[in-house]
Amino acid sequence: MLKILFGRRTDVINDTNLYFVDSNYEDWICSEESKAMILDIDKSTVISERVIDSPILGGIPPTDLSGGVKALMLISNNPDLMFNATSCGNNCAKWLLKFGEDRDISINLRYMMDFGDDPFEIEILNNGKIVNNMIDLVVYGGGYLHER
Amino acid sequence: MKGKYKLKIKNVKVSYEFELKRKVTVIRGESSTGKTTLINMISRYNQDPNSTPIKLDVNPKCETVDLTNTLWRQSKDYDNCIIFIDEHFDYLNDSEFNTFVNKSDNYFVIVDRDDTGWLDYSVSDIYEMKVDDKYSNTHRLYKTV
Repeated sequence: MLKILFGRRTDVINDTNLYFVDSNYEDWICSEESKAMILDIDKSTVISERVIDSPILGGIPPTDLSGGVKALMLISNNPDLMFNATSCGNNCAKWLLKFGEDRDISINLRYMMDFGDDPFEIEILNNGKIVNNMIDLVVYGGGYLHER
Repeated sequence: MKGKYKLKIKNVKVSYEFELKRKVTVIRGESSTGKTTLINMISRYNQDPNSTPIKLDVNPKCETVDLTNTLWRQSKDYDNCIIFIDEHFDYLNDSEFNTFVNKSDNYFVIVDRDDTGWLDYSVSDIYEMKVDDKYSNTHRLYKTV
């Protein structure tokens, strides 16, 4: 299940851009899941574990991918860690829900991400409430966004 | 600083063009729309304008600053600049930074989805990046009521 802790926290991995640089991304950037996310979010193709073909930027290293897709890969490949997923835009939401379909994934969010109109299952870690739609997510989770 | 500032920055691959109308402009939007690329180009240009093919044009003329955590800790001495802040800037909610923003003469372009603390800005100052082929510009994210 996807679990979300709302609000600014100091006990999570805050800067996913920074963390990614020194992570073992070469171990998983060529997986089918990573390739699909990079194609979907960045419209880019994985050439090798060290080279991505971007239609805008040309050949780039994985560290130059968007903040959102780097955060997604970190979240998926490090399920024991909690990352600040605020680098992920709304276009990353479906991937976060997908992760939650077959494993427990916990993330920190500092804005109200739009998870769409289809029913979903998300646990709000701030209060333990499980919600199935955006209205309930906003009602039961939105108030924690300004927590420090 | 007062009034509108028109900014154009480009290299051989991408080009950005937008207008800043008020002190604080917030840029949000989906991942991979070029928000961080913009900040990185400002940063590279400022390292040495003579050693980069990046072209930056600001009208009326003024300095630009890519404000990182390190720079902020080293100095708060910025005046009449356009200051760019990316999402990993740790001091957006810091009271000293908020005072600096509200009292200074600088303009601020903040790329962040997080709550930006006590900064004075309205919903009409929030923009998203729109990409058209290799050209990017900002569009107001929320329509005025």
